[in-house]
Amino acid sequence: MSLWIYLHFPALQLNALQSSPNGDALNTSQGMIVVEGRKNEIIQMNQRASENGVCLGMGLATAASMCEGLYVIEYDSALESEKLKEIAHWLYMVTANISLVPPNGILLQASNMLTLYDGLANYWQALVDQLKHLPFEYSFASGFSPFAARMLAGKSFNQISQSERALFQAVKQCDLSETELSSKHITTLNRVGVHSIADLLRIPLPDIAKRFGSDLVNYVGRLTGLFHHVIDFYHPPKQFQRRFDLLFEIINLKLLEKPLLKLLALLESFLIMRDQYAHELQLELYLRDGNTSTVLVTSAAGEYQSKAWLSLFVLKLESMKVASPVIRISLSAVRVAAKQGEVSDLFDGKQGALSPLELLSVLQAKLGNESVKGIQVTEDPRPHLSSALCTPLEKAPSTVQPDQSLLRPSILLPRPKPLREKVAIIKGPERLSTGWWDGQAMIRDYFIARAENGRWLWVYRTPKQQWFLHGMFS
Amino acid sequence: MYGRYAELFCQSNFSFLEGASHPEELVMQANFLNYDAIAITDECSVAGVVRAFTAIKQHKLNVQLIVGSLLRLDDSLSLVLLCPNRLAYAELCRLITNARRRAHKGSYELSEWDLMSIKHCFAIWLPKGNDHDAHWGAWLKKYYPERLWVGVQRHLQHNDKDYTQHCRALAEHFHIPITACGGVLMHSATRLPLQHTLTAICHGISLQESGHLLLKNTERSLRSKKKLNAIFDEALLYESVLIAQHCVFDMAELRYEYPHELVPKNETPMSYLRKLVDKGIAFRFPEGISDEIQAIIDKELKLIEELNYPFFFLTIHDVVMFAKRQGILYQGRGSSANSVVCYCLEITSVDPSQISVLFERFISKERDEPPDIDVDFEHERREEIIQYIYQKYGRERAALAATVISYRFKSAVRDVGKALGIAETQLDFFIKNVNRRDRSLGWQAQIIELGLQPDSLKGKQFIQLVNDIVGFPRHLSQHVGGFVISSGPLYELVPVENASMAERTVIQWDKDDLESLGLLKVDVLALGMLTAIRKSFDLIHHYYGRRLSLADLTRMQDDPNVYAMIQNADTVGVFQIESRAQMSMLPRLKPKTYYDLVIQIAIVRPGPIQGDMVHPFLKRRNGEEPIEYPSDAVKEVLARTLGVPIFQEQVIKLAMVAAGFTGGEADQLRRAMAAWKKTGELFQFKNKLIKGMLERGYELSFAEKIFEQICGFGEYGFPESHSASFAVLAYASAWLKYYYPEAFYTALLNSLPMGFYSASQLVQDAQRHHVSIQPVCINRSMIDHDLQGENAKVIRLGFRLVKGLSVEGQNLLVRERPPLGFKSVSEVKAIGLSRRDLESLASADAFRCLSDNRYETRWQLMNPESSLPFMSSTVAEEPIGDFRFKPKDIENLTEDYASLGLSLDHHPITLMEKANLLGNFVRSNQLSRVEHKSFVDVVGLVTGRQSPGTASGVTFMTLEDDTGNINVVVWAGTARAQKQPFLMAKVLKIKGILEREGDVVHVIAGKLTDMTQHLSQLRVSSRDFH
Repeated sequence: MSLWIYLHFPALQLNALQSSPNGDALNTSQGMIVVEGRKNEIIQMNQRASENGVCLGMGLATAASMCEGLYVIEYDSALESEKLKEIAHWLYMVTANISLVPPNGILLQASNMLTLYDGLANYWQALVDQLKHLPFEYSFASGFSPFAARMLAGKSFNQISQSERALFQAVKQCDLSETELSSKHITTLNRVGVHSIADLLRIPLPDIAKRFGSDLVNYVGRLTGLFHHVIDFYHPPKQFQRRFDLLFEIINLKLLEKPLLKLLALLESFLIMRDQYAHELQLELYLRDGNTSTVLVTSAAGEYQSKAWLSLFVLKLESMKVASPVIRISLSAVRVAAKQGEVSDLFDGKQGALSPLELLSVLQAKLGNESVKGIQVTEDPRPHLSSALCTPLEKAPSTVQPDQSLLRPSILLPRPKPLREKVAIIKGPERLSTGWWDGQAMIRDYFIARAENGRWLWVYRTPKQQWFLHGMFS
Repeated sequence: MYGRYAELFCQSNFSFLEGASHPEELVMQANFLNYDAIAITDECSVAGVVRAFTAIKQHKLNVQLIVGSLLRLDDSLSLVLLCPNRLAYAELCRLITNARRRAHKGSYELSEWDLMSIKHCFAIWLPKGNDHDAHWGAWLKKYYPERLWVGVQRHLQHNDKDYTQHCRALAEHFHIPITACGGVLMHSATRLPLQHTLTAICHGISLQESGHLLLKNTERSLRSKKKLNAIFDEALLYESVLIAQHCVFDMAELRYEYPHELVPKNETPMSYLRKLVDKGIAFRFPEGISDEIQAIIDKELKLIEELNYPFFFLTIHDVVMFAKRQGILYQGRGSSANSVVCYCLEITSVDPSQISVLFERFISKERDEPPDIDVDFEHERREEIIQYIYQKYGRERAALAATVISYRFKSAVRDVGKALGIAETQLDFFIKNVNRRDRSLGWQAQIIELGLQPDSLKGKQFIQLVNDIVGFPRHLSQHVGGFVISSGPLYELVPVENASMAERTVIQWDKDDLESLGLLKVDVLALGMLTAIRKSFDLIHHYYGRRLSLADLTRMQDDPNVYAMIQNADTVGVFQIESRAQMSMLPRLKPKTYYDLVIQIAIVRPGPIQGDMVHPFLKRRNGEEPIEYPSDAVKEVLARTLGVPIFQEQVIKLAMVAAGFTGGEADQLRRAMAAWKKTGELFQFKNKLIKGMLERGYELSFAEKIFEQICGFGEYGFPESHSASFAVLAYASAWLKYYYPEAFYTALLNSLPMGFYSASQLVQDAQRHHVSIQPVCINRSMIDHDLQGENAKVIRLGFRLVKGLSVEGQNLLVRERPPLGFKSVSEVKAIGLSRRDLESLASADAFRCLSDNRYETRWQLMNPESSLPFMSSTVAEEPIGDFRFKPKDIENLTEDYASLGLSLDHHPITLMEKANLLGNFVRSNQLSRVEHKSFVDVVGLVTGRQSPGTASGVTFMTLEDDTGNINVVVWAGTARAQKQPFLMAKVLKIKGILEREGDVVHVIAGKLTDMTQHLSQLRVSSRDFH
């Protein structure tokens, strides 16, 4: 029989929130609950909420009436899965054969690790030590099958044992409601007097098969360890990360080029082997004073060649200064993707010209990511909000369909200017009286006008009869 | 002064999620702006016109109403049709009906043919401004010669000039006259935010995302004539007035005729009604009729003739006669139902010689309101009545009235919140936590408490928009049972559209609209108690050989035994007076006569309680307070209720005799009362009422008290006319409970779901009345609960109670059961019941006569092998093997509740006490021995938690132990300090102080202890581990 250990994290999302960088700001004297919206059921809560009589499984309204000033968080299963992966990744340093049981459990196959650690106690100690670094509450149990370990951990058995007898006894005492069984199965079983695992195990498997079908037989077989239970194990992500301890300290960042090129060469081979491109690299500079400094470089089109990457890094590093010398660097590929075929036609006239993506990479490297923006039309009816900055090269959502018939000038002044010249009104008014919802309400009558010098202007009049120039037609 | 103008294109909020003003607001504003006329032209609908019509009449506005509708054909043609005359109106209704009946509920499908068939309506063409217009211009010119205008709108858009030019060119080219129109969606520019919000809601997105879908400015409101003159040529404006002048159709012309087939040839409706009444007299008064009653009948008939209502009575008579032929029990109620004529026509069973309620009180000339008769039918058989009506009159001539579903608080918060981009969880949180019953705190205050920032922009907008949108119509739904039946096709009177129920159609007007136009509807309602009473009558006839009818029971006059039982509040299962509030009032009010019951039913309502009328009435009745009247006129109105207004009619009548309201005004007051929580309209009447009473010499304090009482009555006021009919059923059910309890409980159980109590509570009440009840049995039960044993005095529960047992299964069981019963479980199995049916029966312990362990039986039945054909005959019973599960008492109880919803053998409290889990406590039936104001411990299942809005801060709890119910009062402070047990406990122990007032006992809760976990302990402690 193989031995399993199950770790159950009952408040993954709540703990994650409490331990987040700004988690200190949370008031611990306030009741906090995590609510599963679809079922309107409370699934996690803090001490304070529990003291006020809030129970798991309660509805939101009841909970709110129990505990005043309740802080309500909507359940986020994606976040929990993410956290679960983090935990697995962390545990991977001390144990193999980890299986994720989303949304909030981790199963470990203990049997294979016992020789390595010289016994269960040492192994468990290593796990506990590793888990100490994480902010998550957990309950645990060992068991001779994944189901058994999970069930016991779920009811906070919190014992690690190899004693078959003791574990079996504990399993037998479990109520059917504590199992993985569907509520339909549980009801049918209850209605013939079967309430506990002990009751269930008293029935011969053939009798179960006849009356309840193979599902239940499979369950019982797996629970007792009689049947093999196929488990998918966790594999850490295939990610490029290399570290390089500098032989001497570097204060002039230009000198980083050489060691960096070495790392980039490693990356190049890593990418070639996998036929991948990297889109974003992160270079961490570990400084002598204990600080680290991070450099992010992106290539929108994707790149694998070390030289190309190096030139991007060099552009970045040119404008950087460090407070104390660099002692170690580490390079990781933040985003990689499979290579996609590029179209570059031999007869295309623009040989050697930069593609938009390449241009973007260069601009971003030179100016910083934040300084490069795209522009996009929006749904907003107010002229000064009818276009907005966006991430470069992003396409506007297809729902946005600006009214093409509107006559709008191609040059819009960033800020309207009082109209100081004599103009002739050619067309108008077009009255805009809208925008109340975000506090930027406006009432304006827009006109198309011609200045004396023949320029076509876009001007408007306010309710106070003041005139402004807002744009020029080209 | 500026020129004249008539608005010919204006949509109200009955163009759902588009128009942003009520029809009333639109006509008032048009009147204010001095328009000649305003057309209400909702999209493929006339649902809003009656409201506009009523507002004009009510406020005596000087603006003409034109009926019309906006119609869109695909995306290429928009047209406003206006009704110049009655023929055009019928035509429009027919067109809307056709377009609506073709499509799903809430939408419409217009075809070119629909528009081509129009011969009388005026058409205002709204050109799109694109190339298709040329095609449509020629088309329209062909089908609408002389009745067509181009409608030009100007909304200060960028292309106004081009558009106007385009319209003028079309007009010239096709020789069509041209007029200005507004395309109005709001009565005032201030509604723009709300209109934007509606648009966002309509598209299911937030305002932020709505962008170009939103109106750019406020020009689609009713604009001043000054502005119109600035943007339109005078000729265009004047054309609108000319069109309006041709529209002479007035909603007041609408009168529909009752179906003629009800009257035989050679008879007039009135002569036929007289004939039927004469026949009824012979039937109802076999010993002959007193002069007095004959005089009343003559008077009633005269009134019916004067007001021209004979058809209404004939229609209802026809429907109830059908019910009578089918053996469906019914009872009429409402303002005209309790007349001698209705008694003779067998519409009601209230014997007029027994009660002094006079017809005249309910139907009167000066009170300008149509007669109102609702007929309740057995709830299980109402569908037969509806089908009869459809069959008799056809779908063209009969349809249900609509109910306008409007935004209420919850839906408003949800929709407005979403449009403003507030997270849905946040909105849910608001909705779930706002206590709508706590009137002392408005919802705004509560929502701020829940975390909305009231001074933030979004907070302010949210509060404002929710307030604005509440009361906005959202869609039309079907009225519960209000039928409109006409002599000709209904669609010439009002458009008919599909309801969400298949095969149901509704008209576009609701009951208030019908009332405003003086159109009559026939209310066909469902009432569970009628089913129960009819089933009681059947059982009594079948088993005891006595034939009874409602009229028989009322004719026997008031029975002191029955009233003694009622005074003891022994009224579980009795119609209307079985609620806890009623029960605690019965020993105080001590009804002795039929009319006492009428008062009892009306007085225990939020209205009289809020108006503080209960205590004065009790005091006067007990002689503790003098009965005084400020005048003889008031005395006449209030004498029958000892000077305290209890019924809605009294309040209305009071306004008439004491404050000089006219009949019409009093009717408006009645409607304002019904809706005053929504609209606050009632305060308009305050000055008039008080001034009127002061003028007539009443004191200010009296006048103010009356007004306060009217406010208290509000929407909860209960009419005497309904109470009088309900009292008959209350008395009949009490009589049956007293004289034939076995039949009565059986009938009640067979009529569930209905009433106040569950099967379990009814069965416990029966057992307390020493009625013997036998469990469901595979060999003895029928489908329904039935009477068995010697003299048929034992109730045998029927298969219908078994959860999960199919109807086919029940039939099969009864049909295939051997005369001497089944001898073995496998014999039952052999008749071909499904496995699910068999297992349900096993769990319900229906096999008890064959096997005493329901677990084992179910286990055995779950084995598919034994149902193989060759096994069933050869193998008598499958060997049980080592099946060792035997239900304990608590498990039996759990199974009973799970499969039957009740247990005959055990009560949880008994079992818990046996297991020593409850400590000391006093049982319900022992409480009478506990001294007033002494400490007491009680335990029970929590069966009720009520916090009436009236007695703020108090919750009434009902605990059920194994001997009866205990009334517990929990003060807000107590509840707040012990929230967990207060809110969560299923089994509760309460330490408190007993209070006794007469025979009414309450326990005022002190300490609450949640005993629920002991229930599961019961199972665990009784289970042995091996």
